[in-house]
Amino acid sequence: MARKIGDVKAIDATLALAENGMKMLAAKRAVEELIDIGETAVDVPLANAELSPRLARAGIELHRVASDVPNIKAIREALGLTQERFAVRYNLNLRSIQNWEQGREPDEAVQSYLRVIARFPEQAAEAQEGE
Amino acid sequence: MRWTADQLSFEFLSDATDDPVVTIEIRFPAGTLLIMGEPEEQGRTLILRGVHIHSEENGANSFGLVILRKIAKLAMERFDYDKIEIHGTRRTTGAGPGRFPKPLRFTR
Repeated sequence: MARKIGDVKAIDATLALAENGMKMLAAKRAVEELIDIGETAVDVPLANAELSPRLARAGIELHRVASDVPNIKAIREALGLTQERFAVRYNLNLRSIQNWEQGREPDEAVQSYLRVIARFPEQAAEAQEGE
Repeated sequence: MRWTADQLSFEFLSDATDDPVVTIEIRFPAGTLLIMGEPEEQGRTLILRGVHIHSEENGANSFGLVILRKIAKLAMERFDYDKIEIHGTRRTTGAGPGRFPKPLRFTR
C-alpha cells in the first residue's frame, strides 16, 4: 500500500515503481490514483532498501500489507471470549472457528476480517449489529 | 528572450519509456524539463495525454505558458506537426491542486 505524504513528484515516483517491477503504465496509473485519492495498492519488493527513501522523496510512503495468517485463538483469548461468544459477537460460524483453531487456514477475506477484529474489536462487533 | 531551435534539445529517455508511456527531457536556455505522457498521433496533430511535467532545478509553475508555447512551437517545427495538444493530469501542486488543468493547444 502506498500513501501520499506530501507533494507527489509524479515522474520520479512512476520511475521508481517501474524500476522495481511494475509496468510503466501500471506505475503511472498507480501514482495518478494516489494523487486522486491519497493512496493506492502497489506490488513492489520491500526488500529493496533504496525504494522506500526514494519514494519518500517523491512524496509517497510505503506500507506493507499483512500477509501472515492471523492467529484466531490468540485474538479470541486476548479478547477474553469463548469460541461460542466470539462466534456470536463477530457473526462467525462456530464450527469454522473450531476448524481454524485446529490449524485449518481461513480464506483471505476471513483473514482480513480477523485482522480488523484484532485491531478494532469494538467497531468490528458493532458493524455486525442489525439495523 | 529569443531562442532558436538549435538551443533546444529533446531527448527520449529510453529507460523511462515503455509503450504507451514516453518520457522526454527537454533542455533549453532557461532550464530543463522532464515530460511524461501518453502520446497519440491524429494526422498532423500530436496529442499528449496524462502529462506530468517536472523541473529539477526549478519549482512547480516556474515555467509559464509563454515558455511552454515556445517549446511547443519549436517541437512542432522539429517533429513536423501542425498542432500539439497537452492534456494534463490532476494537479499535484501549484494553482488549484486536485483539479484537472484545461488542455493546452498549440498550433504553428
